[in-house]
Amino acid sequence: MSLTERLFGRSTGTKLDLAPVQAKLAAAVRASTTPDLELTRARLADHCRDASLLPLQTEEFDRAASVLDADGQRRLALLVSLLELEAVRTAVAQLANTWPVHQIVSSALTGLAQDTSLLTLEVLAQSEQRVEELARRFLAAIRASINGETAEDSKKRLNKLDYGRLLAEADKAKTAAAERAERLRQLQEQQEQRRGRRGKW
Amino acid sequence: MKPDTPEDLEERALRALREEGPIALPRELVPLPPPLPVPIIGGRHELAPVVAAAWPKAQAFWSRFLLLGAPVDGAASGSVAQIDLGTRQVSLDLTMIREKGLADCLEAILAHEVGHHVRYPGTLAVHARMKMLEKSLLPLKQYTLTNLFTDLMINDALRPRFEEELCRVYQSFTSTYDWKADPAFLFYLAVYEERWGRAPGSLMGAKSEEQFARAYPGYRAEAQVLGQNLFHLGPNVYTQFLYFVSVTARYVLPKGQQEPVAADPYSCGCGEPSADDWADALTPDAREREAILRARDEGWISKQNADRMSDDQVTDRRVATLPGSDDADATRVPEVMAAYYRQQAEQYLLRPPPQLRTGEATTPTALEEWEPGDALRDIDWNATLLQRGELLGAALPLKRQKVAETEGWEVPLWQPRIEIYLDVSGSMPDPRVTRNAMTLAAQVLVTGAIRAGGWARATLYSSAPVQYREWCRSETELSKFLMHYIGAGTEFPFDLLRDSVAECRGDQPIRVVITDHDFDVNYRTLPGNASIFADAVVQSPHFVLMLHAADPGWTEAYKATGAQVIAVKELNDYPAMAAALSNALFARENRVAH
Repeated sequence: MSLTERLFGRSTGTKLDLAPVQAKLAAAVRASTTPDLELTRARLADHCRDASLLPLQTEEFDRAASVLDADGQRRLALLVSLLELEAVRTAVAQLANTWPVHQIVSSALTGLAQDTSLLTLEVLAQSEQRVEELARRFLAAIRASINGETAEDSKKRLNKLDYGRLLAEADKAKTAAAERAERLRQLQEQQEQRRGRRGKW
Repeated sequence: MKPDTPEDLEERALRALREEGPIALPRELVPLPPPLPVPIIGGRHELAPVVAAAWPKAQAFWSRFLLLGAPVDGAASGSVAQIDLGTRQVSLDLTMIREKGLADCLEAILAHEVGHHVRYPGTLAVHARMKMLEKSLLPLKQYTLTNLFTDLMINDALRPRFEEELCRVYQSFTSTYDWKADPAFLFYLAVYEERWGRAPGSLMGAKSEEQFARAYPGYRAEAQVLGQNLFHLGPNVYTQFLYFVSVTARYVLPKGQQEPVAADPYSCGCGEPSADDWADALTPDAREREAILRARDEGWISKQNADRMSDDQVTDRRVATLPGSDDADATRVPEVMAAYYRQQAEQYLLRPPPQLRTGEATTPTALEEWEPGDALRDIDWNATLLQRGELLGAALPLKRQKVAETEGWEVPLWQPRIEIYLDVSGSMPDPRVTRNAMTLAAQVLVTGAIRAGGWARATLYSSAPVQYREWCRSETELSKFLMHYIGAGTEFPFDLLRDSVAECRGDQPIRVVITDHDFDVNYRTLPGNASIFADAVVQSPHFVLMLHAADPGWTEAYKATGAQVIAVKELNDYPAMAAALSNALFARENRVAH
């Protein structure tokens, strides 16, 4: 069970469209520059005010973000940018009825940014699927379900997209190919041996 | 027909073209020529209007400024479509396209072929380099991943506009895919499915996918990771290619030991690189080396493989994998190697000193028929092609007659001539399978002389000599001759040297002997050899001995006769040797008066 599920349990019932969230995230990836925590904190505070929520204290935010490396800070900035979407802000505001804002931030924003270390900016820029994975993880973190999908569908899709699982499986496939790789190596050796003597020079 | 053409010319040309070779096969055994490609646009094929509409759009996808000939039908060699990057001709198999119901995919199919011309591989030189890289990792006789790679790169670029059409092309052949015979191709289709977000089996075929998944657990994860990483790799296309091969190679060998049988219906080939393309690809360029380093650092290929792909024997390894190196066509590798030596010679070119010779002052006049037996160099090809065209001109060339401006009036002609004696005995490396610096030295001299407007000829010797006796002005012709290898004992042809000196009388060429210390034994075998040698040294404007592992005592003896001796210590350090040779020829004067 993920940290989000442990903290928040199942979905609140808020349903969101995946496409605009994914598109927003993709645009943010393309626009991403050097991480600037102060700017991210200020933007988050603005979004909280727009959602009629009390922003986090500076120290609270800094404490939550202190665990992030440079790439994590970039990811946090991406996730905060999703609050520019009205529907996302509404979902967060709804969640805030039952959970304090600092807990939402530390799990759905800083926590998620920390948990998804494989989804570096470079990887996100290379693959729509990785962007989709991060978008789905974010929606799950704010306990929103996805329009047009059952909870089971979303879970399956997220599992299929799970980059960590994918890399582990690819590694397993590579290990399983050891015998085939050995056959290739032998062919290479045979090719090398076929190059006979080329004269006394 | 031009007005100044003889009346019976056409009949004679046809007769010449009909003439059979020295071994005439019975008519029933003569292989039928392949059917000629048929122009599509403007033709009567029912798909001609569709092709005519699709062709400009397909080109415009890549650029509005392409200059490609219109597609032809019937030359796609079993594929839906093909482009020959040698001629830049796109071919379609309209019968197959109609049978498979792909008429509405023609724009995508054509755009794909244009993509080979514009981007991947773009040229046959790049194609040849990819093949060389591939052979290092995948030493299979026929099977290649090069086309799959270029197709994937092109199709992904076409995807925004043609995804459905491209998928339909692959789907129309689903029933023919045999994953057991070509597992890599099924893996390749999985890359599309994963990257383009299509259901597993939608291109591979549901049944094949199911069986493949059982045989290769985890393959979809590899396919997805490959599809994610491939398109963003740098710094160049070879990096992407090495990554693609390193992953896909794990799926190439079918269960059992046999070579896979390609299942790709889209194997559009791109045509066969020329001898010059292959020759160019025998040495890895900077971009390849950069890609190999990255592949090693990223762990895509082993350190051992990376070393083999870039060490000082890499050229020999590449020569060993040239097409033709292990089949019945013995002419292909020497042709590539001849081109290789010509290219290498360019780096070390020197201009031999022009020799003052006298000749009659002539002026070109009228054209006349060239007859067998006339000197080849008398043919005026420009005039022949202009007057007779390619077909007639090849059968009946013209020669330009030259007449003396004033009878008996001789003028000075500054023209270098070089006569080379090259040792191709068993102690020398075979120039067809490895880089032989001595053959390269000969090529440098030949090229230098010919480029300076001069002539050259060569004698290759081992236990017996082989001569190119005619004075030759063709670098290509002589480079091909220099690819002969005998590989037996060493017997310098002193008789030929004596005859040559006698034949040239008052018009002696520069003579260069390229050999090793075995020459010392030849020199002292017969008592007359020393005097033949000394006479040749005296008669020749320059007589140069290039000796590998020279004995100092004998070197002094040769020098005493007046010969210039270059002791070659390190064969691979050829630039130094070329410089020494240059000094030997130029040290005393710029022009050598005869």
